[in-house]
Amino acid sequence: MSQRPGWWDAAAVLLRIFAGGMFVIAGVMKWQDPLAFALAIESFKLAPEIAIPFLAHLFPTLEILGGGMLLAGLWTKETSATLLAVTVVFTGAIIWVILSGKPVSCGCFGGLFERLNIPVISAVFGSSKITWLSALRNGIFLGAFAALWWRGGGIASLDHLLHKKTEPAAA
Amino acid sequence: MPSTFLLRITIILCASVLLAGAQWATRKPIVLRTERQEAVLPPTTSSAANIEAGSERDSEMTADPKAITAAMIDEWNRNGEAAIVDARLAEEFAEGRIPYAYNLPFGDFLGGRPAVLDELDPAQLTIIYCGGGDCDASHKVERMLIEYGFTNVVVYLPGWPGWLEYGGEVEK
Repeated sequence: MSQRPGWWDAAAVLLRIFAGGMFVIAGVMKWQDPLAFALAIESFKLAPEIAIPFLAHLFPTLEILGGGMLLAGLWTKETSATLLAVTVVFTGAIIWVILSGKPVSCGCFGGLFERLNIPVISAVFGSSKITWLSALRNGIFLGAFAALWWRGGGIASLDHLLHKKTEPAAA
Repeated sequence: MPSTFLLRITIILCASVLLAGAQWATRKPIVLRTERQEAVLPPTTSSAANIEAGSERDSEMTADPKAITAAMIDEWNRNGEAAIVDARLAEEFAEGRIPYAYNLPFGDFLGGRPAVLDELDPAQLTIIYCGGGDCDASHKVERMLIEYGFTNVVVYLPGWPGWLEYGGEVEK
């Protein structure tokens, strides 16, 4: 008997496209210029200088890989949990900068939204100034990842397809 | 199953670390800081400039960035001998800036070569400023400009507060 799609299946697709897509784009933007992203990491003064070049390669790679897996709906729960942990780290850094009052350029989303210059969207997702809006934006992603971790990727996902294939045939 | 869950997370993390390691080994090395270069400064009639740079009035000179004064910037700017880059955020730039300054916040370098670089001459003296004090945006922009082939870049350390203190013209 085929399973009928429910509200979560539709919501999961939207969340995966939104969160996964954004992480892929952000990762690619950062991946294009590792030096600029390394300098952005350095601005936060939270990581030892010797580790910064490696982190400047690691974060974009993790974002592209994780974002791509979310888009495909592969290992959705595990990928969401991983990206949730990464977002918690980024959010902690943002809150630290806000509280310390340091003038730091965020580097969030690789400057994508600042380049697009779309009203409201650029203000919420843009990379220019770190404000509580930046923390709120991360909160949206945290919510999306938490929901995908809890409920999974829905029926329009590779997870569902692979699960069906490995299920024993009904008698 | 918790064990499968943790195993998959470990695989995702290990794959990311391996891919990042491969990039680290094969892509151009990331050098956060370069040797500070002496700027080649155009001649100026500003006495402070000549005294600090220890140079004759009518000749080109080299100087440490610390020797750059607002008066020197004002003169070079009026004569079109230097490009001024404002590394502050667009909102701050819009509120007031050194006349003819280009706005180039550090964030514009994330995601590739900023379009404003096409309007600048890499060989010309380029003076960068930001909010002064503990603002390090101008140093990051300086590093990126050097990366993009700019050969005569200098940071005006007192930044925007220094310009205001000097009483320089403010463009809005």
